[in-house]
Amino acid sequence: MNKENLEQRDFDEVLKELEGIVSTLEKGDLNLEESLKNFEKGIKLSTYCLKKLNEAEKKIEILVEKMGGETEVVPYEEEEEEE
Amino acid sequence: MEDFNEINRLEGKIYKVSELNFELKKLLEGNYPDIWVEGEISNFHHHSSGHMYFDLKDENSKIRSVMFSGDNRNLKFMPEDGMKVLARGGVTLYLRKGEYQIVVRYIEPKGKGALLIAFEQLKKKLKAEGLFDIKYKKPIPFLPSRIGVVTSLGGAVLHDIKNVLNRRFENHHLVISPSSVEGESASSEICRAIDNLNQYGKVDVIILARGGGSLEALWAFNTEEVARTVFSSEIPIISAVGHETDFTISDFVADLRAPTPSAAAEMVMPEKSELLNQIYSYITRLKTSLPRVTTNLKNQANYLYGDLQKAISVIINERKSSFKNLSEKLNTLSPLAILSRGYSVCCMVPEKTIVRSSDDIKIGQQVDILLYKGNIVCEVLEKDAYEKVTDICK
Repeated sequence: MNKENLEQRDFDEVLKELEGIVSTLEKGDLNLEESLKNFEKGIKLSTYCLKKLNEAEKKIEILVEKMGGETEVVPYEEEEEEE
Repeated sequence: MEDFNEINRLEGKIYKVSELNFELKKLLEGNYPDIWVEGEISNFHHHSSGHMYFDLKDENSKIRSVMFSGDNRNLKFMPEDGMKVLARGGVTLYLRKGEYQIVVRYIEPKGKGALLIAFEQLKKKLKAEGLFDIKYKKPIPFLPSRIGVVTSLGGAVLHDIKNVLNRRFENHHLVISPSSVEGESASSEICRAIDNLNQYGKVDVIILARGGGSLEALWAFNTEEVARTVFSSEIPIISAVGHETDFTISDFVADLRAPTPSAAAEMVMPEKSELLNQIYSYITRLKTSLPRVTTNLKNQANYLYGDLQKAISVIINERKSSFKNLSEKLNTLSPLAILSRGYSVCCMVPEKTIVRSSDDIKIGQQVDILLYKGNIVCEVLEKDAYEKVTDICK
């Protein structure tokens, strides 16, 4: 399963597949070869999910209208709250 | 009694119809220039000119009424037959028809306010059009990469939403499309803010939010304009307007209703720490399950190996025992065993063939006698002829 179509899929769908893999592996009724394949896919999916969660960085923007009705986003300097 | 009519005529005052009506008109307008009337609307007709014609009636009587377009243009609700109303205006006489009527300048529903009537009318209308149908509700994405929010800048609402998002998923991406949320221009601004986000196209969900307030204060979210914009938005919209108990038309046409703006923020973004824990637990379960799989297989292998060994040893034993039987049998059959019981074998020298009869041998010839242990070479001194060994025993 190549990387790209992972990106297209919904995050919770990938999560569900991962859950499925883990429980099948835990049942333990797979032969060694299938277990290894499942294990490998499980690791691949979980690293993808972790990346997805951590890759975004916090951003707050404001959508403004330029001349001619086009819209544009600009950073929104909020008054620094006590973080 | 004199003839009553006769006297009047004599007094010389004979009115023309219009003259009489004109006087009555002045009389009415003079005495009832600005009054409130309570009644029920019937025979309501909204003329293409914009003027509204209707009767106001009660159980025993009715009065013609008119509300000119100038006055009825910014009515928040549409008068309907059967509606109980309070009307304010002046009484006059419509000369041409000779009918007296009230020129209504203001009208409001009796009991429930105009806004509530308008709310229910719009709700009924849009529902009939199917704008509330479940089948049009778009799913809210589980993990939106960009969240749009339409609300007023600097308000507590925006503050709440940001706080909730910070708590649940710190590295979130928020795009604010500001709009006023109250007052005359609010509804058109809200529509524009939503349209802008749709045109921008990069947010996965939009939160339409406003703090609590009266029906009047929330009114922008009950306009048909906002309702249709929310409905037709390509991007799923969560409507979070007012307090838990406030319902606005935008709630009904949106893809999801949140009781409050902070609830909307909670609905739109999962808790990051929860997700991380879930994934880490999957990883550990993966890691523990693999060796378990291998140990299982190992056990199975051992088990099989054990079986194998057992099977092999069983076979070996069988072989051994059957070999033993055979060799025992062989022993008993083997000639050597007989020797052990005292017999010996006499063979010719040097041919080593067995001598079975005394005829085979001549006196003085040598024979080799095989004993149980060792052998002896002898010379035949004497021989005797008899049939079989058994003859001796008799």
